[in-house]
Amino acid sequence: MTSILTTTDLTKHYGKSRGIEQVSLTIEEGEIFGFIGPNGAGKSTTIRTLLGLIKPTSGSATIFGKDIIDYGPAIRQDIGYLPSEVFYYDNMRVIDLLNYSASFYNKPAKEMKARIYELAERLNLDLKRKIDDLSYGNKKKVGIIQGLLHSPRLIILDEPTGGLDPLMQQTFFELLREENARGATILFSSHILSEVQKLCDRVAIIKDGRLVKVERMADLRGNNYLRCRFETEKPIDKGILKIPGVNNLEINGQHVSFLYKGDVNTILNLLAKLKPKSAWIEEPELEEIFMHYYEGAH
Amino acid sequence: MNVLRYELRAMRVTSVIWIIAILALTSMYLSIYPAFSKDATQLLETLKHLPPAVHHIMGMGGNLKLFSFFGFFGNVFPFITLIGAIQAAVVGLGILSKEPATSTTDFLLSKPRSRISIYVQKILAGGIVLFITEVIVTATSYALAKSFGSGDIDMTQYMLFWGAFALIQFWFYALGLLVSQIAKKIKSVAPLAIGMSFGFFLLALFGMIVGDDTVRWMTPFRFIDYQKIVNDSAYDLSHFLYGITILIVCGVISFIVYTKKDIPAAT
Repeated sequence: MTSILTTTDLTKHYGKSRGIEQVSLTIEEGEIFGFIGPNGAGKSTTIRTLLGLIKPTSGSATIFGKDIIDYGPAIRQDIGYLPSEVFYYDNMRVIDLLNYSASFYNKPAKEMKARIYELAERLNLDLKRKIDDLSYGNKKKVGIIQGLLHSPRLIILDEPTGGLDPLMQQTFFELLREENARGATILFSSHILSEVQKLCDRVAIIKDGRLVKVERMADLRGNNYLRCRFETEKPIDKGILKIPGVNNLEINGQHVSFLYKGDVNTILNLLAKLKPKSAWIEEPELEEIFMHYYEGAH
Repeated sequence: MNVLRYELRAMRVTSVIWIIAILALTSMYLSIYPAFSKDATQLLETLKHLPPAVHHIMGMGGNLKLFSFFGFFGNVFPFITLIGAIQAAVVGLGILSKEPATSTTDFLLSKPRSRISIYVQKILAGGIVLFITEVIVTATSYALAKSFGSGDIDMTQYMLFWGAFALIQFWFYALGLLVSQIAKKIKSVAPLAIGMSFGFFLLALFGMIVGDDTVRWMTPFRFIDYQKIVNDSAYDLSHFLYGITILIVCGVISFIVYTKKDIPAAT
């Protein structure tokens, strides 16, 4: 695998306030890379820097092996971008806007035209309507089509699912998986972890402008952590759970919950001693692991 | 050149309306001329009784040949240039600011074109629209002048007048570009364009009333002196070069700001 996108100490300051700080990451060709963090963490700043919409304060980045500043236009030939908030020229018809969008790319016009109609069909979008008359969800569909119509090598999605109903979201994810199967690399930014969980191979967690962790999805969840919850007859002593591997411990009367990383037998032995009324040991939601990283990272 | 094509298409309808408006105003003024020159002697008598300030406003301060065709034209021409200035300011203010105003900057600038290319294509589109306006208005009003004016029309003077119209348009175009790049966000273009044009127009009128020549350096409406066209068939070179410098400075600043600035996320 070759890396398709590399950032090296990418930094952006907005005046005095921080944007992103020394973000270094590598995305391999063909992967679906998740980029998660709460609002304001720096996801959009990173993406907008990669697209040349804002200039980095320091550091550098390459896409397809080319520097983003020196080769911006050439790089963008092969990028499809869908922002979180979509806005288009209101007085245009959908098809005119999409044709205008297609006119920027060096792909055969016929292919792109066919793709527009194909995507519109699948997303159930009327191409003859005026942009102004579209609902937010429908505008989002226009965004999806204009991001995919030129079959880009790299698809950059900045919190793309807002405004799409669950059914459309499913279609959208299907489209993304097809694009990925075709060979496209996807950078998917989101603050909704379940989406990232569904789709991504690897994920970067960003907080306060800094990368906290880059990990394979499979490593992040499952094997490592267990979510343990149990209920006892009597309130228990907190000290008894102060053992290595226990995180995010919460004791609420007889209810106990924590994340555990380590040998499962240790926990089972402990539970046997405590004689709980009921107990659950399960794979945690990504959200919980994420929160753990988030609170743990200082 | 797809951006250029798109921008030209976008301005098609409004440009036609502007051309019609300018021609309507021009023909209205020119249609007065036959009656005006007929009653010339009578009018001259009346004008004698007006205070000197009014003479200044009407451009009669110097030895303007008031009752020649161009003498007359020099008096009504500023109002024609005012309409032209508003059109140019609308184009200049709007062409680079419509994306920020409608939050469509992301759409345009994430496309595989450099900012330089987009800037050049947009500026060219606005320039072409104004140039076409000027060519049509100049040619059509020549026919109008022929039919309303008596006798031959001095081609040099005629071209100098409409050259001034073109220059004023380009000055306001450049000022519009500059303001659109310096202002944070322009929500609505027309009021600002009208305000800008009227502001400079009133400044020009004020300068004429008080007979202050420093105003001639402050408003594009006075960079070119119509009396000098009528009397010497020429522009005033220092003011002309000064105006060209302003044109270039506005262009360069707007270019630098447009190509360098960070685009904030749309909300």
